[in-house]
Amino acid sequence: MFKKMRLVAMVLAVFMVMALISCGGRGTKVTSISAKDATVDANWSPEDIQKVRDHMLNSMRGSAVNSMKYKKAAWMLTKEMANDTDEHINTRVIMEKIRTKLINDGMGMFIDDQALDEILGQQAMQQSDLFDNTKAARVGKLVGAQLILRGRISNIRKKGARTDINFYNITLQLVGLETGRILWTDEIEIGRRADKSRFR
Amino acid sequence: MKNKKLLVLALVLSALLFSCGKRLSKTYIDDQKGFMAVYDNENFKQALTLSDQFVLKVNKNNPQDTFIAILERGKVAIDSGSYEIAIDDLQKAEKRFLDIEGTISLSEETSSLFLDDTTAEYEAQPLEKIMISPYLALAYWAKGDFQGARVERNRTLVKVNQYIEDKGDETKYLENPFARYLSAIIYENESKFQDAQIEYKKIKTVAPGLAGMMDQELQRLKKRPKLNDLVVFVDLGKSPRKFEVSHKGSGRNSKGAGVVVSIVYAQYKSRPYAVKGCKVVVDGNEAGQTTSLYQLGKTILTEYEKNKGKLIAKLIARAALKTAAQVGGQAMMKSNNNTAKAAGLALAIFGAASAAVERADLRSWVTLPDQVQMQRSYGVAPGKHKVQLVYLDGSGNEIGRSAEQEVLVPEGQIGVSYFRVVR
Repeated sequence: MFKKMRLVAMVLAVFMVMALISCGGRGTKVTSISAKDATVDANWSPEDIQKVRDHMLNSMRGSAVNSMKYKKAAWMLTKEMANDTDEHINTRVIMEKIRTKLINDGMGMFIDDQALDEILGQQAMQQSDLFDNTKAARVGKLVGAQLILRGRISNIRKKGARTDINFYNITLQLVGLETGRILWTDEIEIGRRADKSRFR
Repeated sequence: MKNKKLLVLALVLSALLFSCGKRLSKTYIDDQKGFMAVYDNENFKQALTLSDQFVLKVNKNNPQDTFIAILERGKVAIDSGSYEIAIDDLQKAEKRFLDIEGTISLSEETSSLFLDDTTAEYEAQPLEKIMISPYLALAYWAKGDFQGARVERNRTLVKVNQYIEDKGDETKYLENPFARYLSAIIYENESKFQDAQIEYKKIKTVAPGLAGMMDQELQRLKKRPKLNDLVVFVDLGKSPRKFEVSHKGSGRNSKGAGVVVSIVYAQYKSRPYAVKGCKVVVDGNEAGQTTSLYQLGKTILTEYEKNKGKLIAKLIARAALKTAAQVGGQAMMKSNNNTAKAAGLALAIFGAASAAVERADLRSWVTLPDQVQMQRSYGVAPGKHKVQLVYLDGSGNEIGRSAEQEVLVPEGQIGVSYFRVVR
């Protein structure tokens, strides 16, 4: 009788363990993370965008372009930062983050190059008979850019089976559209090494 | 006591039935047959639809094969002109293969030791990992995203460095003139003529048969030419495919006990195809004949021969383990202890059954071509052009034509066209 009960208890214990394993761990757990926590390998990460933005802003603040002469000028972003890396990086995001900070710090007055087509289209429509011309936006008030912010990102990568060494170089320049002169430039290097565990 | 023995036997038989049932059920190779039959008939759109179902089936039945299935679908997608799907799939597969590269899964190694290699997740060969990037570059370029193609060119060269150049003579056989040529024309399109020259020089070194063609390219680049070129790439034929070689039998050990011995492995065999070359027709006029740029089939066979020693050693170790399990189990069955007898019986049955149902690992990237050919037309008028291939057999006779493709050659740039010929 006792042996039978032990056998039954053993089988029940096995089933309970299997049930706990299959029932446990379901659903999705969500946790907010910082940009630093998103750096999980040697590839481009949100943390790198922040580093580039902060470095370039600090450099511009301490340079001659942080003066009334340039604050009054109209700046624009180049369409994209040239990407010479081996990753599909959205370089427009880097430029827009820098532009946002520059505008909020009062360092530059930007023209929205991407909205230009929309603006021109809207103005043309408002000049047509469909709109009350007295209330339409006045044409001929668009401000041309005098300065253009452009840049390039490249990398050197050395990869092994379990090691990934990646070195980024990001350069940014502020160029006068009239003369083509580079009014400000700086670069930042970001290096990272990722080592995979032997076991997965 | 009798109940305990019966319970142990029942558990072992259940486990055996489950794993042997899985062994005897449809494999990854069986599931592949459906879309491959349609693919071999060059019905790429339909093959893409069937490959969707293939990926779903594989993910359900053999999840360790999911990413090789996605890789196949990605290639089918390029061949059918579905570039967004191709990019998504090839990048997914590439990411996984690179993530698991150089790592070991203990559970997979254990199951592979006791069963066979088909239980372990598929790990792409270096040749396969290299080929993913040029195909991605072609897909990006074909969909009009030249910046994406540039990034994939950079990834190609990182891989060439990692798998070929960094390892010296040991991996020279992996040299890939197709990957280098595609990289070179992307450099040319960026007006980086010096970088393009470097790639042409490297092709000349690793593929002496292409030396004449590379010399012409190098001469042309000295003059910093204005580009208005059309390059046609053709994936020709079928890459070698694995088949099973099996040595299974039963014997007796020194004590006279019966054992099942099994050595099962995969061997490559070339697959025949009819089209050996192509004439390129641009806007109804013959532009030239294609040249063989990369003998991918030969590289696959070489790669296999280089790795064969390690593979056979693993097979022998596995066979020895299974034989030892049977012999050990049979010895334990002679014990006076009933628990040891039951365990011995379970071990002996497991050893014999797993040897009997062992399978060779026949997985590989089967939608790859046997060779990549190309043809380049210089000084083509900028604008849209209609490109068609005339298929030639081994004697140079015309045996068919492809559908026409419309290609854009931008002003001062290179236009690229890609064809897949399987027959």
